Amino acid sequence: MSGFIEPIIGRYVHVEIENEVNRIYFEESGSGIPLVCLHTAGSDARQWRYLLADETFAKHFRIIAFDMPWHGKSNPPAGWTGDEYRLTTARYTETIRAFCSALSLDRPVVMGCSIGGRIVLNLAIAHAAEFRALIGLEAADFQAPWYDTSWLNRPDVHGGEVCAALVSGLIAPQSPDASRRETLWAYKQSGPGVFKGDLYFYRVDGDLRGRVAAVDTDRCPLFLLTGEYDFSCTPADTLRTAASIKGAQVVIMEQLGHFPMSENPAQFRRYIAPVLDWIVQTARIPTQPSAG
Amino acid sequence: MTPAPVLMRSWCFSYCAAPGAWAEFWRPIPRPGWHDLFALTKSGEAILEGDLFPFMSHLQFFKDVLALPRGRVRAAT
Repeated sequence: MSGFIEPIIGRYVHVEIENEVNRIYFEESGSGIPLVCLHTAGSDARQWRYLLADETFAKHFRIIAFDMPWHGKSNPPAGWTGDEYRLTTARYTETIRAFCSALSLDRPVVMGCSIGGRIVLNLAIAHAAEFRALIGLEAADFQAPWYDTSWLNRPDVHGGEVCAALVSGLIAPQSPDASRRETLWAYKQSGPGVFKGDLYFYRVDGDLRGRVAAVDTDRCPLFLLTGEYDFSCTPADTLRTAASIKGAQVVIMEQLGHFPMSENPAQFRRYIAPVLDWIVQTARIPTQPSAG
Repeated sequence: MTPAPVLMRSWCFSYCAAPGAWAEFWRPIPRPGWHDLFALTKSGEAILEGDLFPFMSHLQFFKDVLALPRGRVRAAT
């Protein structure tokens, strides 16, 4: 319908990360429990537009999705000199915590996909008290690499085309053509070397094997949802990770791949709705005094 | 398409999988793990080797070409 305006509002917030102010673009809709959404490597927060536009979820959640620096409409910080971009566990963790702090969010829920799912596990390990619940999509403590990332940023291969073509296989064959193309479009638009730089965190710096057993799901509930067609972070990777976390809730999602929220929003909704409903219901229960 | 084997054929790069793997790949709705060229190489069901530059610089083209028989060949039994 021509003239229809979506309820999503986009703004910029200044966030200090590693002693430098970053101008971060975020979109939000709804009111209630803060729900911060993290995009995948080499993409941006447009992946969450269907969740942001969901009127039912927006009744209970302040849904927020932001572009990481170097991604989407969040430029690199002013002090960047053009050197190779590399995301680290420390920088990624600080970015999320600083963003939540800058918006004065009270114990938000954080939901991240892929690298966002991996960092959610690190938040659960190191900062659980700051979050109401954590949701990892396509998340595992580690997964085996399946291609050489040096192909992602070289002068004789179009970076956007090769990044999109590589990840295209991670989308389930049942996903609608339009949302498949839209998911890949963000990869084609990503800045040079950004996908590769994100994967530095994923492949080199963010190996959490042996650390996830420290997650305390009594302090902060943890949900792990993985698509059956994701051969990058496979269902087996997620199940292995969950097996070492007492109380972690796991769902393997049918007819979905590595980008559930953008590749097939309707199918993803079937799986995320019960999780969000659980969080809403739990929030209504009055907090009991600690037994000590 | 030329049936193999062809003696002393020169090649630049190759993507090789057994007939059963191709049959799975070409199902109308392939099963998880059989739905992408790299899913097959990761699981060891296919082997990619040689000078990969032509393949990687035209990756979506080769993916689309090799998926053309999807749904048009007899399903694996």
